[in-house]
Amino acid sequence: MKKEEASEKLIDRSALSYKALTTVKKNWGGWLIMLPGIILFAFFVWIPLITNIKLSFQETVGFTGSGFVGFDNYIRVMDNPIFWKALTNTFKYAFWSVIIGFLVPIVLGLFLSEVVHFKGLFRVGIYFPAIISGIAVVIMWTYIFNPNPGAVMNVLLGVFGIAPSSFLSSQEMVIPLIVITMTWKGAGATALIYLSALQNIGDAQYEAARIDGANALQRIRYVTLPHIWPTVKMLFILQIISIFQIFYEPLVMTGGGGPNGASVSLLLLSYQYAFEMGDASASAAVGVILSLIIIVLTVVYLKPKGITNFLGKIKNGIVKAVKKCK
Amino acid sequence: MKKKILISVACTLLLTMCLAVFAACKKSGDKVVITVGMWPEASQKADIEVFNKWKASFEADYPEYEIKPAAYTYSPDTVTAKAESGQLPTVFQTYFTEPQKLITSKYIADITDLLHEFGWYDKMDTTMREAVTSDGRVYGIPRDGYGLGLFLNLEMFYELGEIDKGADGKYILYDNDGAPLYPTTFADVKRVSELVVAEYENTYGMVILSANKNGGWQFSNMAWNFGASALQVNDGGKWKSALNSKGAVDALNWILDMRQNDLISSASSNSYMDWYRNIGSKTVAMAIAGSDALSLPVTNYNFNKDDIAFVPMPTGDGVSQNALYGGTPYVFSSKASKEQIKGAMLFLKYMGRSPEVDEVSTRAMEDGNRLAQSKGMPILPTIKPWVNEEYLTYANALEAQFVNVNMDYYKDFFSTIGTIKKAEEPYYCQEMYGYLDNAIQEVLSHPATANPQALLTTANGQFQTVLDKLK
Amino acid sequence: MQINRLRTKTGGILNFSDYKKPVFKVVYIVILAILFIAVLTALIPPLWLFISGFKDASELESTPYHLFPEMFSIAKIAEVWKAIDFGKYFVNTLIVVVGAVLCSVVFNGLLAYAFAIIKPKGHKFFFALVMLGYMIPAIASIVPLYKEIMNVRLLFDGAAEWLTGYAPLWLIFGANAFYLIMFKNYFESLPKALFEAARIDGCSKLGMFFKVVVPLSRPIIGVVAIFTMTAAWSDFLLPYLILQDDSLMTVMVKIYNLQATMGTVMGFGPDRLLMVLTISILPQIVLFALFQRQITANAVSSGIKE
Repeated sequence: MKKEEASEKLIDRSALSYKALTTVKKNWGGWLIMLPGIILFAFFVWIPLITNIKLSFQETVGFTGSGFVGFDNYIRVMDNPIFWKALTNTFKYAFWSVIIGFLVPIVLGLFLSEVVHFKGLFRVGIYFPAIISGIAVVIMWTYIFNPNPGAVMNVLLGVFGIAPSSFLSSQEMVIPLIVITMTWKGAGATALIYLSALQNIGDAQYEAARIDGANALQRIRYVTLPHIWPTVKMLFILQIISIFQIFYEPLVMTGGGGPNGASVSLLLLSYQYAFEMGDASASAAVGVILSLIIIVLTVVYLKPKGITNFLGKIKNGIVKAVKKCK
Repeated sequence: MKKKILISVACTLLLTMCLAVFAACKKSGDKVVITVGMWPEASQKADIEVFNKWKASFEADYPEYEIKPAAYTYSPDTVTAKAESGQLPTVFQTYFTEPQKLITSKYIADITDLLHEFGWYDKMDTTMREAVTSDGRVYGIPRDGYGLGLFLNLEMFYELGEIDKGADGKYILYDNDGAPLYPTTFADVKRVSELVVAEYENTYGMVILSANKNGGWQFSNMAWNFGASALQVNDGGKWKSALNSKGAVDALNWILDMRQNDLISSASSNSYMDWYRNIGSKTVAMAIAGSDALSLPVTNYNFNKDDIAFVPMPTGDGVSQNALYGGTPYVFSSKASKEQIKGAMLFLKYMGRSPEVDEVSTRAMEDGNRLAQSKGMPILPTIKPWVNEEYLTYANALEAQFVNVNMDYYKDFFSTIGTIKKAEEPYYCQEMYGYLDNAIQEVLSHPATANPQALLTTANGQFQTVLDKLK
Repeated sequence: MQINRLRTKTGGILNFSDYKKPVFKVVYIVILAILFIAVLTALIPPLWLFISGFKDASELESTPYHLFPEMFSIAKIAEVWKAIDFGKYFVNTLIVVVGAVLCSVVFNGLLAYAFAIIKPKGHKFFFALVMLGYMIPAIASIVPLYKEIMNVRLLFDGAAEWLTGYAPLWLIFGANAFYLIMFKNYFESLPKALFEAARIDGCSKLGMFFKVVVPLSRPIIGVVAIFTMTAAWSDFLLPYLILQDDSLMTVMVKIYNLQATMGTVMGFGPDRLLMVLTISILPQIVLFALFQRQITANAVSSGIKE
């Protein structure tokens, strides 16, 4: 009996190793192709993310973690009023960049596709700001928004009888103004992307809608929008991603997130903790909180069906990985 | 065809890459390489010429060394990146507030023994040496010092009738009894500001810095002069933050009062360059500045150097008068070998920054002054880092020869700085300044509702958690 | 204005039949006006910058404000360009951008190819991992990321400084979930039969990528390349932290440094900074003028059909 069992196991094992061998044989080419990408993702995304989580629970000397301190770093960060400002600012940035940054290019794209005169001039002109490097744009607008009553923008406002404004030195206006600056740079290029999506709509579809008696607004609602919807969705995600990457705009335009923290972003705060205050663990804690917010948003964005798919994918992946380990 | 071109381009690229790698691997002989961080920026052609001259004469005298330019303008946020990546130059400049932090992080080297070997230790100004000392070990060599004071646009003061002009066309800053006509109290500053605002369009009395830690830096001096004895107090061995003491609150209230009366601009992100920007474009009549930076309005804005006066910091409560005193030390990377550090110190002599007065040093000191002269900069007395007799005699004589301003406009500052100078607060100064910046920004941007007491109490709480990091 | 063109307009939301009604003619004029305003908004600030760069520093905020400088001296451009030696930073930026585009296309493309077509064992697991970090910017973990890059740099201690400086800036674009997903979606839409045929012809997996997938994927490669180009051109934080050596700095980093040190550098005031900004735009304008058609066409072609 025992002997039989043993031999069975032996067969089982050799079968297993045979199976493993064929798996390797069948897949090694694919794995090799996957390898460089996986290494890059591991190096630039996954490992830093995990190390960052670890670091956020540790005490740090310089950039090196030592003993674990539980949630101390999170408590320290949340005790600081500036963190709550950064958090609310993030939503203010999101609000304004949906209002301004997201809608403007859609409208421009629509108009560009409708217009038959000066097409080239409009396209080149509107695209122009995109070729200027980001930091130059930001510094230029900082000078334009100079709050002195004798400076360019205030003089211009004066022509229209508007009282001088303190622009970026106003806590209420600073975020909309930063968003306007970002939109000024980005809207043209984005509008051209919408334009191409719009140009893919055939004349026949509009014709069909016309025959059905659809007026101009209905044509937009039932023909235009459904067609550009995938592009809208993609650019919406890009817009949201860009909100969480806001960093050098407040750094340069308001001297590091002022006035009194009214424009500081989470990423800027994380940077300041690490590189200005030498507090790497607090920086890590802010980074982790930022990542958590993004994950929650991603999941909400993917919606219920998406979520189950998404979780299913992860579950399948893990189950398979575990099976492989067995 | 296209493919062939692509392949050949790729090959050339690869080849150049390999070559570059090999070229970099080649060591530059057996020379000890010293990277010099205070090398002028590429745009400063005239300065570079002088540095090249110093480099040539140094390398001729010490052929075992090679000087490598590595222009680095210190800033508290790049130093971490540079140090953690091992890219700090052998020697570079920083501020007096920084060494303590750099020492704790082990970024800079202990040079005590070398200082004794060179015989420089005892020749150093003791206050300045203190700033670069930790646990009795010295980590830097002071270049020069500065004191904060009040910069005045004399032309405006004259036009406002505050001061007179003599027969020789020079301004007269004192009345017949010798009492100063310039503002000596912050109440005076406010009074003059009111005149300025009434007389000129789009112009304010003075500029208040408020961003990039510069607001807090100048504010700490104002707080002292309103009666705050210190912003950090040692309370039985534990350091306590004292940002909301009466003096500090009074100082912020003064700023609030100025803002509410539109005597200062609403701009709340003014950083260091903005004092000379406002002075230069004549949108203010007064600014707080460091004595080492007075030439900036002249070099960057063609401000007439004969219209500048620099007077002691005003007092707030009528009693307290201090001048925040800081400076620039040379420090050395902890990654540098003893040989490199020694070479770097020797090179300081060739730059005229050592206490020695032999031929090499005196020539270099002259070079420095000539350079300033050729740029049309106002040349003023400096606050000297070395106190040995022969150095002081020579340096003072040289200065007397080059000074090109009317010393009457500066004499009170230089005669009082020795007695009213006060070093910056001891710990985490930049962080403290950052929290103070926030309070000032709130006052500037919400003058109707800002509450200085509450704002400083918030800042105090925030900074206490930073001080708690002290073991 | 040739109003005729409206009579022959057949496509779009509004066509010739609509434009017979006066209401839509008004609408059309409003659209034209808005677009003109948009173009002016896009062009006037750089023009203001260009003019202001010629001003003397004290003219920038003079009262009363005057738009034009007292004297235009073209020599100032040459002088500032020479003083800053701007060409160098341009070349550096180009090196960063080209490397980033190559890495972005090759690495994301290859990984997407594996996920979408080869599907080796475990691909779902890794794809789920990629999705997890979908929208999290790498710089949210700035401290560990920076430390890792510096550690790897130590391994290549002898290598040329520019290589160790630029390599991480190139490679980080090779790990971008967004580009990866764009590639994957596109590859999945390619006809399967083609791959079968290639396999039967004895094409290796890697060979298939270059011989079959790449030629079919020109549009998506163009889109990702354009996105990467824009992103790399304006990339700031990592270049700022990594490129500490002045001779390696990109335009972004150099301009930031010039701006940040203006409080202490003699002879470099705001007027010169504005001139530097103008100069930093000039080569881009030349490039743009030369490749205007391709660039706008490419941006246009990047509208994605799904």
